Amino acid sequence: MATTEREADKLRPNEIVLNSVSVRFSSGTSEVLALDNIDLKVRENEFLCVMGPSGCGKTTLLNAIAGFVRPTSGRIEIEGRPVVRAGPDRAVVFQADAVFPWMTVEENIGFSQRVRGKSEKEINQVVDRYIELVGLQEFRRAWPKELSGGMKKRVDLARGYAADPEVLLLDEPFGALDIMTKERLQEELRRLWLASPRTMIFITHDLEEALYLGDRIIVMTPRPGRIESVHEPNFPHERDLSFKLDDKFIKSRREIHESMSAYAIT
Amino acid sequence: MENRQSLQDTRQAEQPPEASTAARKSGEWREGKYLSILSVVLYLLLWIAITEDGFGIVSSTFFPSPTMVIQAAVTVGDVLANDIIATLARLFVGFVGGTLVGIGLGLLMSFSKKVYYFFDPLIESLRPVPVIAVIPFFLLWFGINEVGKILLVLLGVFAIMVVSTVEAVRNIPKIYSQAAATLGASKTDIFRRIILPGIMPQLVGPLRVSLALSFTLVVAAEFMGAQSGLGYRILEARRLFNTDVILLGIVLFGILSGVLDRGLRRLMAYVTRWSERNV
Repeated sequence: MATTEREADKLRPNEIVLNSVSVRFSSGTSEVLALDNIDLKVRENEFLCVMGPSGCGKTTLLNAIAGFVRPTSGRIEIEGRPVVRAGPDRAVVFQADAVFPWMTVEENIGFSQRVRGKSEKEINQVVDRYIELVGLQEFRRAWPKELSGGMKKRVDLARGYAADPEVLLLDEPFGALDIMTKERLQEELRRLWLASPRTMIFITHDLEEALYLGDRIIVMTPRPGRIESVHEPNFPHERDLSFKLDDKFIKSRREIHESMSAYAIT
Repeated sequence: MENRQSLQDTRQAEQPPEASTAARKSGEWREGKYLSILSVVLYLLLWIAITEDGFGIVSSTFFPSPTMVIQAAVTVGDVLANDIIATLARLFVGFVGGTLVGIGLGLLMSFSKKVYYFFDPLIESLRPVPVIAVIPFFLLWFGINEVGKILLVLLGVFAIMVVSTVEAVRNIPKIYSQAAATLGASKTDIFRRIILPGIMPQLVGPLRVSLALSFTLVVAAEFMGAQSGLGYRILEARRLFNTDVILLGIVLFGILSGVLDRGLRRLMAYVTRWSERNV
């Protein structure tokens, strides 16, 4: 699928803009160029998937947008403001388990509201909404230690969403889960996004996952990370897991896979 | 939709993993908790056999028999009760004070590099000094005052807790602070809601050690200069060669520290009830 920007999309505001962003890591004598001159415009409320082999810099890209890493050169802006540090406008869902073990499910989900100083009533309203969207109502007062991996990921998702960020950054959030749980959560995430739209930047190495979840898929090259290609398959907006078996899906998947094999290292 | 239905079912099938406490306790009995009771009984029998009049392997002055200890308890009982209260009061204030100051400063040192660099040399140079060696100075400065004894306990506890806290903070996985930051938490929020609860499991050990140390320190302080307290009473009994009272004092110390340690463990078990501990 060639890169085509439809006229209508050009009119949508840009949520995040990366301008010639490079990130260089140096430790002692060695230097690593993780990201090489990335130009990227992320549209408002789009579901963007960033794909690539391990070590291609996709996590560095996410960390730079999140504010954990300063670009060595170039600038990153969100809604025109420069990205300086981490903040609730760009909430992050990590791959590793980041659910706070000493807080119950509802305390975790309500955390962002609590540190904003909201009243108990307001916090509860937000918690009510998102705990229902991820289907964990019966586990409202449970400790994370009582939950399975998939359930904890759902808490993590609800927690990030409840922060009401402009952008939700997800770093291979389903990477540590088994396939069945992963697929369930993929479907749930897409449903969550349709119910509560916002800009999503989703990192994955799984092409099927990227194609299922994303409006646009960006493929990155191995280190140093550059944008190899951008794909916009124009799949139906509402799609469930069965869509993965659709002819269009399989065709897109094959095309992108073949274009990646040209340079990919296993 | 068919897919949504299967989603519902699988969600209900997801059971949170947790064993029941009743099953765990009966398992402990099978494992050998009865052995603990057995060993105590044997130990008591041995004591009776060696020291009790009639068998008389050991002279009763050298090692009092259980009956002598019980008699002593009856004789000096009410005076002893006051002593116990006095000792426990000093211990409690010193322990709690040392814990609060120790954890407090430890957190501050982790929060601010400047605070850390300022206090670190002071703490690291004074910490290795055996607190007991400071007693003569304390006698000089505070006399036989309560303050001196409490301060001794406080310093000993402080030395342990401040270092333990700094290390515990360092051991908190970075991902929690990062996650908190992206959710809008300020540095103060992070310390209050992430770091402070997060370090609790790692402080249980140091707290128990500090409590045991507190007993040693309070007795040492009372030996050096006091007019009341269990340690003082033991010292007095030594002057009068009342070995039965001495042993009674020791037994009481054993009971008190055991009970307090148990209480501390219970408290910390509640504070850390969220954590996965290999009980």
